[in-house]
Amino acid sequence: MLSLRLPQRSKFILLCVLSGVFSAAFVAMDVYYLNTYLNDPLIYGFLTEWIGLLFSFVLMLIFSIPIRKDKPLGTILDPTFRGLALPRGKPLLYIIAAGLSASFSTFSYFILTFVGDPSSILPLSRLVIVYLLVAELFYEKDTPTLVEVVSISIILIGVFFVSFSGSSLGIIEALLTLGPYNMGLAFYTYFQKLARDYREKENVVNDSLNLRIWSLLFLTIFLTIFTIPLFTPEQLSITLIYFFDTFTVIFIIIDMSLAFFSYVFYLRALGMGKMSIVNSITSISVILGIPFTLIGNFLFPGAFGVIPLDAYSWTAKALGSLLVFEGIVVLSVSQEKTFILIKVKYPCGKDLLGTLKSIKGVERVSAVAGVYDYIVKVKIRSVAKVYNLLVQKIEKIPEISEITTMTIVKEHEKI
Amino acid sequence: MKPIYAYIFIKVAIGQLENVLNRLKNIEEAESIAVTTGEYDIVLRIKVSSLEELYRVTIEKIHKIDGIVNTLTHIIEKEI
Repeated sequence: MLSLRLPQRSKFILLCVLSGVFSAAFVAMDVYYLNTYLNDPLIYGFLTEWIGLLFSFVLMLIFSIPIRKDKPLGTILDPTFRGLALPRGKPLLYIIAAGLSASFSTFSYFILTFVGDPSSILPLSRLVIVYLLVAELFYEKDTPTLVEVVSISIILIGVFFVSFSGSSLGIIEALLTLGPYNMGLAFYTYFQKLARDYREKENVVNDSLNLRIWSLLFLTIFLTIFTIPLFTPEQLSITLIYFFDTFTVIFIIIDMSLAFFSYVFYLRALGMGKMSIVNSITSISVILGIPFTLIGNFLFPGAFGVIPLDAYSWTAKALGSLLVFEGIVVLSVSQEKTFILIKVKYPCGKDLLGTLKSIKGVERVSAVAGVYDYIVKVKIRSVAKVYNLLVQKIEKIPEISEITTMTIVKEHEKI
Repeated sequence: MKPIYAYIFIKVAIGQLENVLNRLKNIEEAESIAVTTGEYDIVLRIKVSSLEELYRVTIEKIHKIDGIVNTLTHIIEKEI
């Protein structure tokens, strides 16, 4: 996890996969608790958020302990972390919006578990990828490329095969899944990405640890507002009893610590890549759910749901897993980044920063003092496309006199 | 105070790339290191608090690395 040790590409994939591993683990724990201990998703959800929130603040205080000058312990997880601090300005608004969106999806998830079986609903959360892809289509700078659409489709087909169980969804479940559940997830991802990418001011607080804790705070507040009116007096007293139950508290602390790490890695990855791609790679949790369920069922029979053992199901699961891996590999090897160095004609009375930034695929434009006048960093998915972009867009700008390209073959970055 | 960002283009002697890269990774001020094809071999992005510190980092840390043939520094004036 050290900041500059790993090449950027491996770091991105590693963060996504780690996030997937941790989320597979905490989902398995949720299923175990609901199946064996307390079969009431509403109470469990309420307890999880509040105990999780309190413990996450403890975690944040631990991660704020300085280990070296200006370097708190949390820099191990995110090198931009500088201690627990409430973000201000726009990032705070994005975090509140993310918390509200997450409360919609979490709330509908609880409703869904009332009427249906959680194991058949959970993989459907991957539908969010389709929403994100569509959203990116309309957001000019992040238009998905053909390679991305193809590999993401491969991953989605894989997820479908891995999780296909033959059970059917009713109309209300289907509507809830299509609507608030996945829409909430999509907006959560979108607002977190906006907060993470916010760099307009110096010293802005938008490291993944602070984003996680504060969005969790707002999620818990909104969720409480939605849940409390649905509680019967009986449920309220049960909630109070379980709040002081040692096993429950310890269980939730472990569960929510896993969730904490899962989201911190997820948010870091969001700062490095497109939303749809981060979500596609974290789909690996659907595959990882299989060993977790198998080991869990071996230790506590029946506590982790039923796994079909016929040859057909296993062939589908194996093929599906293979497709998910293939999609991830293609996504990771097709990424290209290039520096374009630009000299302008003199006299040049025009500021080209905005013009250059508006070109698709341009990640960052710097006006510099030196031999060159502008340094443009481009991120795109094939060499031919970089060439096209250069010829068509940049050469058409009349103020430019000279262009040099340097393709990045390996990159290490502190994000 | 507002930090200063700069790109430093580095030319490396043949066969020295891995060595130079490993030394650069230990520079605290480095924000990103990219190995590139084309005119230069490495593009280093650094964050410093002042021009004085930029001078110190380039003279004391970067120029002392064996295998670096040539560097070209561009200070970033504005960025979006």
